[in-house]
Amino acid sequence: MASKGNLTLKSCNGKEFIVEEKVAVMSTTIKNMVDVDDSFAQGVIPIIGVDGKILAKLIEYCKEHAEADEDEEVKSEEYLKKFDEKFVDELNLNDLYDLLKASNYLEITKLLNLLCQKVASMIKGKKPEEIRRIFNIKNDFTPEEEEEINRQNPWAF
Amino acid sequence: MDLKACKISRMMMDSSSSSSLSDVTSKIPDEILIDILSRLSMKEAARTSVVSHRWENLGKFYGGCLDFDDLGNSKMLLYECTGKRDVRVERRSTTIDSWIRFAAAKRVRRLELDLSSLFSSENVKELEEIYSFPMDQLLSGELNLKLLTSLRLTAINVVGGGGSGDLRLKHLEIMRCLELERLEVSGARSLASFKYEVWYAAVEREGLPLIT
Repeated sequence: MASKGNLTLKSCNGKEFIVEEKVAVMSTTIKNMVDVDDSFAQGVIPIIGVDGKILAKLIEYCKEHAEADEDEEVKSEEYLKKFDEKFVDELNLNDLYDLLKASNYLEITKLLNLLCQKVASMIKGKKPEEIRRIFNIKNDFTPEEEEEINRQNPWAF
Repeated sequence: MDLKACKISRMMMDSSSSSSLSDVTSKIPDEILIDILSRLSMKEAARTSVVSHRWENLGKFYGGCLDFDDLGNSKMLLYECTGKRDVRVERRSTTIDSWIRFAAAKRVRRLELDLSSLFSSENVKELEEIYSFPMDQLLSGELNLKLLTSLRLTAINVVGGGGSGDLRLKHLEIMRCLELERLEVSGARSLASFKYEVWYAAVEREGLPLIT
């Protein structure tokens, strides 16, 4: 069991993580759970639909940001910026999407913003064909439909 | 292949090894993709509407800035958006009226009209060619911009007035508006800021703004 001031988070595949409360409550969803029901603070908090690998990533992110919120001297804004950049750059597509979904569900707003910005930067400046290739999106338009859309939106290209 | 392209192809290989090239965006809820689209310019976002049926539909909820200047024409009107907050128009066009009506239909909160680029040296237009903002229609509610909280008009004409209406304007800026003879703002309880700058040619005219 976690000692006082710590919370235990359990991933959907059964991995348990003991984290400081200040780190866990970076997630508004977890914060609300702990605030409403004391038993969560004592026991294990199940994180539904998030596996151990992704939960570890989330905790890594929240730990850095919680520590920076507490002590700006040790972790400056510039340090955080570099950390954020490295954090998103090292993700593969699947992890990026799993983290997007998890940070949305857990309401980790800062991280959700960071990830959305990352995906937006991947779309920026790309042709539709390139966007499909990057994200493995199937083109479900018939050739006629596609031609019609291109005709309607000539300015987009 | 540049560095960025290398990185992308590496990412694709990573993802394909675990999920045999499935569409990873299919895992993402619509509201997150709409958030992502709304971070792009209107033109960039419109381009994604050709990607697939799902993306075409998502584009309709684009919530970023409706920047008509980005497009060069009014084709964007075909592109039905909802939940708009900002509109910026920086180009003289006979379609400005329709853009403003479009913005009104999308319940914009902030409207900026800036035609000062027309006054660059080689491009000076006759005064009568300058777009006139229908202030009377705004006040009468004919131009349904009831949710508007910020209005900024630069280098255009303002016509009409003298009406009264139910507006929630918090910020009003009228900058270098030509032929503005008299400006009176009254009973604007929600108004928090007001900025007014005269055009050099209009200095001679009477009428410092009267605010009651």
